[in-house]
Amino acid sequence: MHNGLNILLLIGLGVFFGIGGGKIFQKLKIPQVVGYIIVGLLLGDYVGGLFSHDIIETLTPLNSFALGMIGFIIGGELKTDLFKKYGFDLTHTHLNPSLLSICFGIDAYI
Amino acid sequence: MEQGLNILLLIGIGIFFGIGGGKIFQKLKIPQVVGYIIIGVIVGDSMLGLFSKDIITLLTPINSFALGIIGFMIGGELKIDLFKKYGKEFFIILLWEGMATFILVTWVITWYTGKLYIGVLFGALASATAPAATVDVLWEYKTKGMLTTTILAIVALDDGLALILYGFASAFAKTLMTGHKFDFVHGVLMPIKEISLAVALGIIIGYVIYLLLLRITDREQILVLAIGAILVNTGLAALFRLDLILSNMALGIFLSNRAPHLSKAIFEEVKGITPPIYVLFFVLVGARLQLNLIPKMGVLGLLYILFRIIGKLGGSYVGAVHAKSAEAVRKYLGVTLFSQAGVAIGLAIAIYQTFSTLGPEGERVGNLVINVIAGTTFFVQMIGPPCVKYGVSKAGEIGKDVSAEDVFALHTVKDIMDRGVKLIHTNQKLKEVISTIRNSMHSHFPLVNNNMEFLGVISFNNVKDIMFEKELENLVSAEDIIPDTVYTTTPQESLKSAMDKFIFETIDFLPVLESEESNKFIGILHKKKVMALSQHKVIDQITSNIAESSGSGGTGIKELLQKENIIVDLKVADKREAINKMIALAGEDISDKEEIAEAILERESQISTAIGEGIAIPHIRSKKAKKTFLAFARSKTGLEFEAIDGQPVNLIFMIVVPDTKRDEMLKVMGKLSRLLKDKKVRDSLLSADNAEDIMSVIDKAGAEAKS
Repeated sequence: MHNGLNILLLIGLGVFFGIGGGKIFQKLKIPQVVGYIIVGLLLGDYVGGLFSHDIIETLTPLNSFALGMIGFIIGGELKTDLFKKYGFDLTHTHLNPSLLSICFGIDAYI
Repeated sequence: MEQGLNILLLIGIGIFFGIGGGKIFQKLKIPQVVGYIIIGVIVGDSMLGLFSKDIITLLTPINSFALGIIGFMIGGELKIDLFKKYGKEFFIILLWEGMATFILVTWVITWYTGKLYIGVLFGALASATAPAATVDVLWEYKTKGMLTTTILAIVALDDGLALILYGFASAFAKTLMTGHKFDFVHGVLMPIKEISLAVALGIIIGYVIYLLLLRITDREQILVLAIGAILVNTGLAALFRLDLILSNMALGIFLSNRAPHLSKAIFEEVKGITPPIYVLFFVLVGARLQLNLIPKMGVLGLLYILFRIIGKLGGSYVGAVHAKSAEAVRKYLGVTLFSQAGVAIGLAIAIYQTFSTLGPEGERVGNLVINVIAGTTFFVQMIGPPCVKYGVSKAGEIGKDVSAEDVFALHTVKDIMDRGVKLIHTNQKLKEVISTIRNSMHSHFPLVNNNMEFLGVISFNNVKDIMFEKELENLVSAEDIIPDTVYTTTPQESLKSAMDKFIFETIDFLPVLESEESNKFIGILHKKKVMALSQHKVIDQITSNIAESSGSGGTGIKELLQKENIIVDLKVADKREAINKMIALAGEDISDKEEIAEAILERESQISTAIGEGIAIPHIRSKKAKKTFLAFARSKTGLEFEAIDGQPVNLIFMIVVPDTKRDEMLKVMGKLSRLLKDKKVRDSLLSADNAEDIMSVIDKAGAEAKS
């Protein structure tokens, strides 16, 4: 019970700091994703230690879910007509940053 | 890893089956929540065993998160204005329904078991109501009105009351069992402290979010922020062992009141992601219910259920009568408060943990409480949601919460699509294409081939590179131009999902294709037209809601107009004297009568409130008024009031509304004008002999409008 609920708090903090990092990098005109990952590094096992190895392991399903969603959304943008016409062009994709923040953030520690 | 993926699969299965169960129950006209819970029971530990106890424990965070979101959303609907206006009413009802249930159940269980300490424990548990299942029904049926508002407020406050009663009952029962002195700190102070801390936590997080919100404009980041806030709030509440529903309600209340406009986006965004979480939450509620415990609740359980229902019904009725609530609240509030789930189970577990340390008798009590609550919860979760539906439907509040979204959901693209539109055909020469673009108000044109198959959209952008090459004008045809791909729609698509596509598009129309499979172009859907439709329909619906609610209960004209505030035969020289005479009727509720009279005359000098047909409605909103004041004066000879039709006025209604009640003025005026539209009413008001007759004319007209 205790451990489980702490996970909510950790996810919450991860999301918060992630947005913060993203904002800072946005101001520096660097893609926000870089910010998410760096915040992940800072919080992760090697530096801040907020996300221990165990916690990251527990959050694996979330990670898989986020990756799954990203795959799904990319797939949704790719119409067969589009392939016929242009081949691969991924500039049309609108990815949801909130998913990305979680996904990349967690990816960083693994 | 293996385990991790299995969890995703299980969650997915839970959501899928949950939706299926919900759909079946929706067809049976039973709230979908019941379907989710039943599916939960089927896939849960006691039947299929797909969700084992371990899995359910593992998923506890999801559960807490869902409760947090529900608390947050309830909080978002509770505006401070509401509490200013009805706070006292809510409080009286809460005390009555909570205490009546507590006392009745305590009494009957004590009578049955012969032990007061068992009685008070069950009494305290009985007072709790499940906000989640109750509110979910309100959301499913899009209810709106006084009953809905009262339910929201009561289930929110109920949580706090149950905690206080539980703290008291647990300490009291311990004293009775062990013979020790009553522990005042644990019995009274601790629960109050816990509630205050939970609320404080929500407010602190809310303030931080508010500050961040001021810097964020991007919608997606708003969602991230909101979810982050709920997660941190829920996590901290659990860390400090505080009530997470209460603290998230406080968070929601704080945000929706501190930043009513900014936070609107937050609640919309969160609402958008909630459906799968709710489904999963209720499936898990069902999965946790243990069917084998139901028979174990025994007679005690049946008495508990029966007397809890009597307590809730009777208590809310008496409370609502005492608080002079609207008729709908009086009649139907009780029936909506039967659900019981997480809060009661949580408290039952807490009782088990505390009492099992107090020797064999304590352990027996602990086990008894767990078994009975587990069994009764199943029962009240099954009957609770349908009862909520019954209550709100009887009160006529179903489907009253309309937004543009709902209008969109009701219509499909074919209702408002345009068929005859300007097109570009592939066989057209560049010259023709350019002239089409140049000579039109529009900037984008659908491109179709000879079979009317849609190929894309052409705009100035697509041709600008070759536009001025004179030689090409006859050489290049539209077929050579690469059009832009855009979202398309079909006649069958709902306007709601079509509208979602506009969000991603910069152009203001969607090409309508025959079907998902065929590319045949049949028309376009203009964004402007969709918007116009929604405004139109929403206004219509709101107007009819107001029309229905006027005359029924609450602050109707009948309730506002006191007999003492009627001047049957007004004999004055002019407008000024009439206003002064009428304002003089107001009692202590208006502190500075002269100032208000001046303000009314000032407004009159700008525009006369004589609306024709011999009627004038002078009105003002003022800080000097404590309560809404309505006066009526009749002049048999007629009074010059600079009416729009130039006629003298005979019927004068004066309205003074406190500055704080911004919406009250329009409501009263709306009701008045509806009343006076009827020529019969106007004639009877003119011919009435005395104040009593005038009151009964208004009373009768109000009753007719209602029926």
